[in-house]
Amino acid sequence: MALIRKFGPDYGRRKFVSEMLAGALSVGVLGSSWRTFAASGDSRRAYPDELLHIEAQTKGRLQPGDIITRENVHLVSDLLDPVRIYQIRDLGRQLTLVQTTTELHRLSPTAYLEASLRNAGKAKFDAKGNVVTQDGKSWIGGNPFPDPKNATEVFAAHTLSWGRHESCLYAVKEYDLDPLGQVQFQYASGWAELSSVERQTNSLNPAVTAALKDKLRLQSVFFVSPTDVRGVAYLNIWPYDQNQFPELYGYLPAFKRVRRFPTNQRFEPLIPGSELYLSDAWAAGDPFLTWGNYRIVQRGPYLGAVSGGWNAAHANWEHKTHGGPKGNTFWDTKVELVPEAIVIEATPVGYPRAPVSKKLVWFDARTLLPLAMVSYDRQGQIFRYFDGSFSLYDNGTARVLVGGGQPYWSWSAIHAFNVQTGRMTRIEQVREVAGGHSTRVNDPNIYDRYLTVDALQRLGT
Amino acid sequence: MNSLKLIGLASAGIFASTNCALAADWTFSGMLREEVAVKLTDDQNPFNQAGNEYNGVAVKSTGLAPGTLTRPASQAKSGDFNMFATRLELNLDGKLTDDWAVHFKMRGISDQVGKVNDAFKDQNLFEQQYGNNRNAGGLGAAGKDWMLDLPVAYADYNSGPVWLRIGNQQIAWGEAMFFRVADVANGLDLRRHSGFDVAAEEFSDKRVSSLGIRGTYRVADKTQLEGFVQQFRPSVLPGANAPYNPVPAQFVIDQKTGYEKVKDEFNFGLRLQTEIEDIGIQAFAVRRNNPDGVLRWTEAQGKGAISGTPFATGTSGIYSAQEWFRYASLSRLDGVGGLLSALNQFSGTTTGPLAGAASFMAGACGASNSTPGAIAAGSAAASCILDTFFDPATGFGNLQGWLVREYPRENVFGFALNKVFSGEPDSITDQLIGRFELSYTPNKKFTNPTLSKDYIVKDELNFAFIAEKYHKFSQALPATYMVFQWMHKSDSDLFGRSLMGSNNTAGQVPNGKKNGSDYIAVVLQQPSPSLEWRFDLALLTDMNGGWFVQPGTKWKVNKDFQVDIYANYLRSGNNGKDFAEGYNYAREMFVRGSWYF
Repeated sequence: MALIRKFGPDYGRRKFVSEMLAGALSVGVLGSSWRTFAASGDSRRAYPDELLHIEAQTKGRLQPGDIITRENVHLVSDLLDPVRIYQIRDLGRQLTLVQTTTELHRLSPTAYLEASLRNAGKAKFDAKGNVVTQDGKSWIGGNPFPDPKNATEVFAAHTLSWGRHESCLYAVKEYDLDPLGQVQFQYASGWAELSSVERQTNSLNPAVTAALKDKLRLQSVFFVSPTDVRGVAYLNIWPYDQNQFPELYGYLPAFKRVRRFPTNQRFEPLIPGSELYLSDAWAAGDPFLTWGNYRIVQRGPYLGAVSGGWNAAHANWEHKTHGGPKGNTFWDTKVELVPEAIVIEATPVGYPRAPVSKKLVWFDARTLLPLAMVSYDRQGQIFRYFDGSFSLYDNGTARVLVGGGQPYWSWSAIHAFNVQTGRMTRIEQVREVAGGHSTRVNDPNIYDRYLTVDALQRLGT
Repeated sequence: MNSLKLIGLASAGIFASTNCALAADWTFSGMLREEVAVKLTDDQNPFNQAGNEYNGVAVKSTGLAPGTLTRPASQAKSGDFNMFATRLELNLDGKLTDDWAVHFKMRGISDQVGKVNDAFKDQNLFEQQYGNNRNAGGLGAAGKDWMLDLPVAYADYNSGPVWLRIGNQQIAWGEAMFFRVADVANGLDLRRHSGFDVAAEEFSDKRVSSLGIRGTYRVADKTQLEGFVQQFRPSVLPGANAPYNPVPAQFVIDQKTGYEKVKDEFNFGLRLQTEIEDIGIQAFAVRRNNPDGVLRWTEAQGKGAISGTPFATGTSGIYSAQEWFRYASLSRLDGVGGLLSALNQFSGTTTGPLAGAASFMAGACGASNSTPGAIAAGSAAASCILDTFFDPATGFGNLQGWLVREYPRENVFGFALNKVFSGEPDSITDQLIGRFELSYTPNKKFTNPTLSKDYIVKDELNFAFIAEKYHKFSQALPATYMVFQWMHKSDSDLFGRSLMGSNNTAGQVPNGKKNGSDYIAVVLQQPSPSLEWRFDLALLTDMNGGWFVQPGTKWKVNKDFQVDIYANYLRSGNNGKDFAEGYNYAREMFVRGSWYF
């Protein structure tokens, strides 16, 4: 009888609460989520049914295939963050429920998971607070803290590897809407990342690898439309030391040349109308030691868009929209019950004039992937909201393969929403944008074509 | 396999390979823009016939015959607009393969300011004959009130660390804004809105494109070697009597002769960029024909030419010595020396039929030496000689002066440094960027203020300090972008004129300026939270009485439209020293409405 009560419908929540009160973090309920995955490739055994099935969670009132609307959102209000509840109740946002995904290879790139397994236990923080190997060298791939013990480990690991690939070029479309649902601005761009720590294919030549020795990542963004921003391109070079700001190089068509820019202004859009700031990237857009006071403020089940974000039905992977005054404010989004989300609070200690006082980030405890972010202004009011959807690019009938024949895993769509002004920026990863820039991953040409100073000049107009 | 492949299991086929573009991918875009500049003053451009300060002004002759000399009042015309233009830009970009791409831009401008401002009615705003080309030698065509060109027409090749750009292109070097210390590869085309466009847009619409090959090899992540070979193309000044013409319209400039000599020349440049200990370093060397050129007297040609002299009779010349000296001063020329060069360096007045008359006039006017070919005179005697020439009763009446523009070969060497300072958050040094640029041109030739055939030759040193910073003054607003720049030039002014012509009082030999010229520029930009609005302020001063202030705003209305409203305010101490003298007419407000597609 005691056993039945222990694993009853509220067991998971009670465990989260008790651990929170004890100040402990042990991911998983019935056992370590990571160790369960390492043993079986699946995290199912780490959680009771109540945290794996929306039917069990809602006592049968909702099931996969149902749509969460303003009429039934009250049934899952404790599985959502406050901004999504507001969006559903007041702005007509809808979420389609799907079955919980438990196979971790569908929730993260296989190569990243393999590196995490291979390198488990080899990470530590050095005197400056950076993640290094036990012998003090730069990290060697995968998540250094897959079974985290505190909030800093979660954030440090995620900042270390945003896209979880060695290199990526995301073809991106962006739509900026005013509160009336009018698409005011529309951009097409490319976003490139190269991680110095995710050496999954060893495709870079030795000279480049040597040059990246003290770097964490190279990241660029360039715009291909509309005409007035065509050719604008920026390159961020991240030092490995997370106490330092990245170097920022920019090409502006007006200057016709690459110039070095200050990089501390990270709470502003790069282009008119956008609600996406540098600081927002992957909910960890700044060096993680320029933020501080990381702490876990909540744990529990959550509705996250961790699968099914890829729209294979569209030739260019473009997504459909709904909600808002004109039916176009939100991406159509599939969500599933994530058995355990870790909510981490952080404050911008390195940015005295930031308009943000703190942010809360929801991480999937199994993959340590950020699912949503809420930031607060200096008066403590909710300021901006950021949520993303992810996907394995394999829906059973079509798939996108990466090196090694594995299906591609990545983000698929993002909302960046200003709660105070009602402005929305919708961003989606597409197959290709103008100029022949197509999404690609772990391609050695990404470095030469998108992540060098001369590439900025070449991408410019 | 490093590329993405989209595989439809149902159809069991590869839909696309995104690693290799097998078919060309073409993109078309463009912009249609109305650009209107309205004067904020009644002043007209004094360098034009219509705005000549002496139109209708009776000047007492100082020549051998008493009387007055009057420039016809009928030449004076006025209007309220400096520009009334429509611009169309069409871009075509094609990605041919992963390694090759091509880019084209066609730019068409029609400026109908002559329809709304009598001063520019039927004036030639764009057409300039260089060789067989009426578009100043560039790829394109031009008429009096329109121009159509291809500022961009190149192919890009990229493979690994190698990048080649082949075709008609601009090359911009250096990091200073507006101050062209290292930006020495291309000249400027000032025919459209001269230097009065939005300061923050710098010279992107003005730098003269030219056929060439530019190549870059990336040696290491932050080290690259760059070189170019580019056909020589001269800077293009607004034509005589155009709204922003900076050269007194009493001159006729022979653009053709000097251009023909060097039109087949190539410019070469080499640059190394690297970073050492967080300091960005550039070093460069350029061998070029100076695109801005130098001017000297040349023998007049065609109708009205006075044989063997640089003068021609007509109706649009100089009417009095006073006008001569005033315009010499405005142009930083030596009015006295200019006369003597014209008299002593041309056959007509040294050995030709006018030698005797010139010698007689010089002697009668009290010149210290009246020997043909060696005439020497002070201000009073020079004024007397000039008025005697300009007096229809004793001389030729009004005279136009003929100049030839030449483009000397020169070497430019330089380097640049930049460093990002990382002070305490929110401190003045927090992410402050410091830059330094320097260029050195040995044996650089400058226009002699006397317009002598003997150009001034100096080793010119040009350097700039730049401090640049984003600073957040309020949590509610994005950071303010601030730039402070100081430029020093050892031997010339902002426009490249020798400092020997500075400190210039009408009727006197210029005192010149020692210790070089210095310029301070400040730029502030404050965007609105969504970046839909941006408020700009640009300020330039030479600390000698010359000021240029440009406040303005850009409003990005939506994804298709943008409106820019700016004002240009110029102020001069009118002391013969500063850059703004004669530019009151350019106090204006300009509005641009752009539709992007």
